[in-house]
Amino acid sequence: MELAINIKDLNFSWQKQSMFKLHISRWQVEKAQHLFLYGKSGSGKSTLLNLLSGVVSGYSGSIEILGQDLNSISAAKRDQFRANNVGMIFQQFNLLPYLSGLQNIQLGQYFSSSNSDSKQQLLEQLTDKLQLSGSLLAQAASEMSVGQQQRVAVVRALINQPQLIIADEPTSALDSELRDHFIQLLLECAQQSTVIFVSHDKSLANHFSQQVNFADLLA
Amino acid sequence: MLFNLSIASLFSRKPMVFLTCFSIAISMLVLASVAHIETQVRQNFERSVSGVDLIVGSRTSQLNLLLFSIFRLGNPSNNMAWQSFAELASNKQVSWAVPIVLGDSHQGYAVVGTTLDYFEHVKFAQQDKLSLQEGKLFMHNKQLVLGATVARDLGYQLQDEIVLSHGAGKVSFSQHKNHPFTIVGILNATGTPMDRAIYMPIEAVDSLHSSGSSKQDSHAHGHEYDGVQEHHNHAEHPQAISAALVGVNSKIALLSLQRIVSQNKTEPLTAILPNVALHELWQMMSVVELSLKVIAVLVLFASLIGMTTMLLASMRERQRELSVLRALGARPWVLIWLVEVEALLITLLGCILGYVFLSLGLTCLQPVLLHHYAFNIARFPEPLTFLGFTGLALGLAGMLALIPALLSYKKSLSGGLRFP
Repeated sequence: MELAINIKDLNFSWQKQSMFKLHISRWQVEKAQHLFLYGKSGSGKSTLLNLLSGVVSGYSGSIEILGQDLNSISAAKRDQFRANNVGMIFQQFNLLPYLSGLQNIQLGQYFSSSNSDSKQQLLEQLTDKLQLSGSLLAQAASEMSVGQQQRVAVVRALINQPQLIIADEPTSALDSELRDHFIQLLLECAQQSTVIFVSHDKSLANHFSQQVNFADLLA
Repeated sequence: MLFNLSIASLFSRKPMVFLTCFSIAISMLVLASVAHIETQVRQNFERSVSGVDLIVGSRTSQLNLLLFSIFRLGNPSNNMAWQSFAELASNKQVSWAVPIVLGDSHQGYAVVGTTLDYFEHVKFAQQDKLSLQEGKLFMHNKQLVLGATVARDLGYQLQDEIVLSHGAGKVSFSQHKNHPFTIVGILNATGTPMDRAIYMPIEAVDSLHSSGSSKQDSHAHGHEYDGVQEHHNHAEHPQAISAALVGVNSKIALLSLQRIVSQNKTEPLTAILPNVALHELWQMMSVVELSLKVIAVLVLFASLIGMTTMLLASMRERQRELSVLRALGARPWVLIWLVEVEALLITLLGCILGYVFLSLGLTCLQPVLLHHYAFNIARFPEPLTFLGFTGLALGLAGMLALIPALLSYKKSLSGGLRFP
């Protein structure tokens, strides 16, 4: 079995908040899993996601993402690795407000090094599936509703066909009807990828094949 | 892509960006106009003394002699005897010598009594000769030639008769009513103080003063005296002149000629080299110029600090922007790049705006300055100088923008993704 995430003896603390310590002795996630990571707010979930995506380093132990040890490569390579292999969706502010939806998606393509020929087709498929019309994509992100913004964010996260998708409470700004629909769409589009979906809302857990309690990880 | 991103980001903050641009534009306007006026004043002064190698007058400071003889600023402190002029003109080194007599005016415009040689030898700009717009040069002592500005301002035409007054003011109590002149020629504009003068034959000077300025009770007598005894004298020349403009055969002779003049036995005289005197003038002005420049640079600095403040204030929003970009795989220094590009774009735009303002302002002011001060200012600032100032502004802006850029960079390195 190939592993998407392989953590051993991870220790991390933010420099200034030395009170908080993240420790995970062992955590493995297989490829193409759709995983629901449940945890209370402020428990350190976002810190873990920062580490998984390679935005933050300075930890001890090892984190392997898609077989790549993040500590063994330079910061620049880590950023490039993230651009190519990791798609991220946040709770809010996924998009730059002054760019159009389409420009936001193109920004996602800009940093990755994969070829752009196949992307046009993929873009059409994804926007079709997520019901994003051309006129909507031409609008400035600041003029879109939160639901529309989140759908654009999904397209952008998937456009480089990343093997790992990290979603940090992407539904908490949506109302409950949109919520289930959004998760279904996201998982449908990301069938080939590993999805780590983080939320404090346990009711969403039934969409996922695998559920993990963040508190159990730390123990 | 990132450049478009910067442009879009700037557009999203139009009011702030525009005001900042505006303030930079105004400070560039100040800086560039100080420099422009300085060079233009120099050029204007320099174009006014062309072809004259030496100016000779009664003993006075070299600046005073230069200013009253060429620029009609100030007054001659003393006259120079005709005899001295005649001796000077006969010197072998002297190629030509033109006497000028000042002291009369018409409606505030100076009257210059001189000979026809004046129009032949005194040049302006790049050795350009004076030329007539219409009419001819004066032939006898009841005729006048007008500078271009005088003719235009007072609306005079050929064959108009005018009366001169004693002294330089617009209102004079002593008018030379008994000696009216006819305008026979109008000169082409030169963009020098020569445009603002009225030229009369030097022979007219004495007859003017012996008749016009004499008191009422001795008037008849004066006229008689004038008519009988000194008539031949008037026709030739006056007793004294204000200054003499001299051209030499060889530039090498200039210094020895200057020494000969200043050692003149019969009366104390001063001889100056116009360019040397101008240089002295610039040296006197240099402190003023320097302080104006310092002020202008400080104004620019202040508006750039204003821009830095604006950038710092926008850093909170920037933190979000950066988090989005980082998540997409951007390197942390993208933020520095964005802030720098933004600062440089604002500054560049401000500079362009400043150039437009300055050109517009100069275009509007140019006719006014030419009209009232015979000051011929170029309509567009010197491009190379302006480019230099733009470079200075961009350099300063780039350095100042590093403050907000580096502060945020540091923060983002230690903080991870943040959505404040």
